[in-house]
Amino acid sequence: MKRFLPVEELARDERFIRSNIADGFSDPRNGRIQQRTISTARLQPDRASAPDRARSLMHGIFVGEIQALEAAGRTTFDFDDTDAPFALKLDMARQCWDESRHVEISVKLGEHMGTEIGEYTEATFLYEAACVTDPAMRLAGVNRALEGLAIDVFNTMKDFGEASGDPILKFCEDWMLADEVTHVKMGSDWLRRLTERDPERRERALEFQRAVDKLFSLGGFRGETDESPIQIARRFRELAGFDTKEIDEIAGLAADALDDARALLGQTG
Amino acid sequence: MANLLLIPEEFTLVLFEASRMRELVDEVILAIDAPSDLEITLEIDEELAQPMTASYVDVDDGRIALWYSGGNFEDTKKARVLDEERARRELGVGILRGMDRLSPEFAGAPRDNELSDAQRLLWEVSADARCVRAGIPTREDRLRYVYRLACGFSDTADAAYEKAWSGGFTTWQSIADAVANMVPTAETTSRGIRRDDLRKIRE
Repeated sequence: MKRFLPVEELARDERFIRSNIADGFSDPRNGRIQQRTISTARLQPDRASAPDRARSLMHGIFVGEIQALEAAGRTTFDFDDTDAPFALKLDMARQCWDESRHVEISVKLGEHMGTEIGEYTEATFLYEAACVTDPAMRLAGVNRALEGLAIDVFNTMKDFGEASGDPILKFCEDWMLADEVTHVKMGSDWLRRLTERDPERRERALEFQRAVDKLFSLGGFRGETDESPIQIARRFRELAGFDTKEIDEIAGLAADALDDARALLGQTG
Repeated sequence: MANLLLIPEEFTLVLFEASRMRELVDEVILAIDAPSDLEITLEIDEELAQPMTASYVDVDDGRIALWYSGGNFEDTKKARVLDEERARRELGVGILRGMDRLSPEFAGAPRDNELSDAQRLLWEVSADARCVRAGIPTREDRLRYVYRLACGFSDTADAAYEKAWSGGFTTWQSIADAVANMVPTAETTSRGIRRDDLRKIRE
């Protein structure tokens, strides 16, 4: 089996259609919509577009879970025992089991919400962030940045389920949220252990995590203002081991990403 | 051929063909057996993309006034591209609700922006079911979820859905009464945010 599988070689059937971030920026509607005030971007059940936004987000969660499974799976295989101790691989194998379950749950939640596999496109930048060849950087990027994002996403969906009185969505998201907290803690623990004698390596890994955090706050997707559909889940991030300074830093990156998007749309619109 | 006023006359931001949109309206009118001389204004806000979907159906001076977000007609896999199946379903539901409004049985119905989410959705379920019977496919699982978001995840709400799907509501009063008899939830009574709608921001 091949080590360090490139994103182009991920196995997908004909239902999956890949999207490109650049396509979104070239859409001429973006500049127009920026000039309109659409009130809050938060996911709230009594907005007219809530069902379609929730379905689209659920499909995004589904493909994200597939890629998280692939990322954790690659970590069990891509590195030898010197680079990645067996106990780390065991944790990643356990994470694979969690992610597999999340894929199954997300498919069923999608059906519950009236969507289906392949109704929306798949962006693969989650897996791309997991293609880095240093296991410390991969743990920082995947387990701390991306699983941290999963905490924010699942908490947002859990709140949506609660606000809409949907017990199925609320409970499923709550259970998956608990797993994500564990995944972040595993990442933090292993990052510390792998880099305990190499502070420069740790800093490089944390810098990579910041880059991934900013990428996934793209266009204000995640933040703490009404302009962001995904809200930073401070309480659950604290439970996962992020300190206040780190959470403030992520919030700052999210605000920067929103400013960048505004500037870019100002140029293209 | 319907007496159709299409706004805009040509699309510039999305890859919809105005001529095809006109054909789709005629196809739908034929499918649902609507009068061919129906007067319709169809306004599509092409600045609004998937998933920012919303729609309004009213009657002004005997003319059916349909307003849609462009996202209602857009292919979820291909940005800016028309999804004809979605379009047929949206137009079918809109025109059927417009025809309801023209009938004496719905004379007392408030305008769309004054309906509660539950009233609006129960009416849409009724129209969706008529579309299906007319051969216009719909995604019933999708409709049921949208309905539940508005009317609640409850047996009472589900029973009203089944009645609407089987053609049980043929007057505005029957819809209003059914909604009044549902167990009220925060979601069915809260209208504050929905009023701050996508269409209003243009006015």
